[in-house]
Amino acid sequence: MTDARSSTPPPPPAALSREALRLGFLIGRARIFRRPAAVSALLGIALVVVAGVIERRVTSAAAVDRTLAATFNLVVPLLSFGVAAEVAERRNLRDAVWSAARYGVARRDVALGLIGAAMTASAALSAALAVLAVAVAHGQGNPAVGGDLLSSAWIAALAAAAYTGWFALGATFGRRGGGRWAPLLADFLMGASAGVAGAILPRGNVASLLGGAAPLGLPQGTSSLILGVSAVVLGGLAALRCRG
Amino acid sequence: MTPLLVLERVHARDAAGPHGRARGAVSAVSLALGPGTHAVLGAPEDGTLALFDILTGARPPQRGRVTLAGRDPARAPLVRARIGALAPEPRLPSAPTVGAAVRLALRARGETGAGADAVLDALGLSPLQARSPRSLAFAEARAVELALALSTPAPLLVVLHEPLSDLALAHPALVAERLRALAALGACVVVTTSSPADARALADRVLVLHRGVVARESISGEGLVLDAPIELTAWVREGARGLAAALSRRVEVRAVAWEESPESGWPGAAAVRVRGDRAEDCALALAEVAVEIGVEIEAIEQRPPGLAEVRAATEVMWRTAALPPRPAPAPAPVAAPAPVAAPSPPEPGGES
Repeated sequence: MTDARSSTPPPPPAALSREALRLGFLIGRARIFRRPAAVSALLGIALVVVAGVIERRVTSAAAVDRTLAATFNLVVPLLSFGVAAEVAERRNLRDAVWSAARYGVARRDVALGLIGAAMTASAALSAALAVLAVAVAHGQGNPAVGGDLLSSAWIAALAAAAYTGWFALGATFGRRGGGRWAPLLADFLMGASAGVAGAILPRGNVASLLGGAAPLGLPQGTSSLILGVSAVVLGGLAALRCRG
Repeated sequence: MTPLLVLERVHARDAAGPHGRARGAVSAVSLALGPGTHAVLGAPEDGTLALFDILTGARPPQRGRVTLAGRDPARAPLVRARIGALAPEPRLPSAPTVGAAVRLALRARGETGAGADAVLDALGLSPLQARSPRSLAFAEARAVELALALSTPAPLLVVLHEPLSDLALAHPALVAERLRALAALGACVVVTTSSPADARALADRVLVLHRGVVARESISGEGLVLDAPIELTAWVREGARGLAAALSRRVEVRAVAWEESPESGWPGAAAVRVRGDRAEDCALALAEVAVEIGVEIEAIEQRPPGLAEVRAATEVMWRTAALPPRPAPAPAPVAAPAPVAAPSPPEPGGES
């Protein structure tokens, strides 16, 4: 046993930050691999497959577009919400980082790791679901799907990352992180508008990237940029709100 | 001796109630604790959980200042790495196995994960290593947290909430032994508990937290209760009623009662409860009467005073002005007030 009051030289802060990020990511990953997140993913897959099969049976013309619309409007936001909530253990994000931060790493860095894990998982799952949606809804007479698969996958990944950023920031409000519901409801209610709300929230930009109406008439490149910047900025803000 | 842990007029509340609401709070608590074992005796409603949260840095105080070795534990991660804590609700880092969770905690403290086996071995918890943390019973998870707390490298502060209850440990006596060893090495050990017996068993100095203020303190738990009648319980197989009747005629005995089949205690025996002013007199009366009427006593035990008696004594002291009056809404500090220092500049290594 060492003398309790003797000062052990602390590791350099940069190394600690990297370690905190890594720990946050590992903890986030462990939380994602729990049963509720797996059930959410399975439900998402089931929804996408059912939607694809129904759309193709009704009419093969534009079945892929309609299935993708259902996937992006419903499955991607809900899946991202589920993953973000699970990573935060359905608590306020500041409390969710405490299980690691209590042992001596910065809350902000652990939060960044957690958010990174949530974004990675929701982006990967959403991309896989978008690919699945295209594959299931694609009829025999339709043109080749290679391009659709690729573009749907990256739009889904970008959208999921942006949604996760919003939900992470929302989870820093409220005793149990109930603030995460605000962006979800706002996106459902106002996200499809062609105005400012549509340009800020993910839904309008996703619709634009899928070939729909562009909010504020923004070009598709700008919509991609907004989604990417939302993910980074909102995730960073969420982490900053967790610091001591 | 220079205090390690300083609280300056701290106001704080916990979030232990339903939906994260407060269950207890502390008001204007000032303390200066140095190396040694200290117990804070009180119920969660008195603010023990709020105090636990601010000492460990889980949440900053609403008002006032908490410093450990001159730095705020809520804002300085490097200070938190030197705090060992056993929380009321165990929260291990999420990981696939207990071993992995312990390794994560060690890495967060700046250690290598290689010592995970030794951490668990020290309290005989190695069999839990391959289990999922979510599969652990409450007492098992607390035991793993305790193992982590007691293995904190060069600890400045070890804060344990109810370290003798709800713990799946084969040898609970180890806890007191380890705490005294840590204190001897210079750590400030703080135990928050609602059990006067645990407070006395673990700490040299007992601070009574009552209605959110440190109402009084006791060295080695002496004088926690005021001339309260003592209660002895004698366990007998036969003749409980006769023993009680004979005892009721003794002047040393203030009250007597018996119970044929109590839910707890000596298996298969009846309990005769005797109240009096002095334990020795009551025990002697019990023995004499038992010999007189030919009743065989299996065992005699003295019930230690509970938190209710301690609280009652505190209230009586307040009323009779034996203690400083309870101010409202911001009570004055009672236990070793610390000098209020000027606000310190931002700390290097502080949480950014």
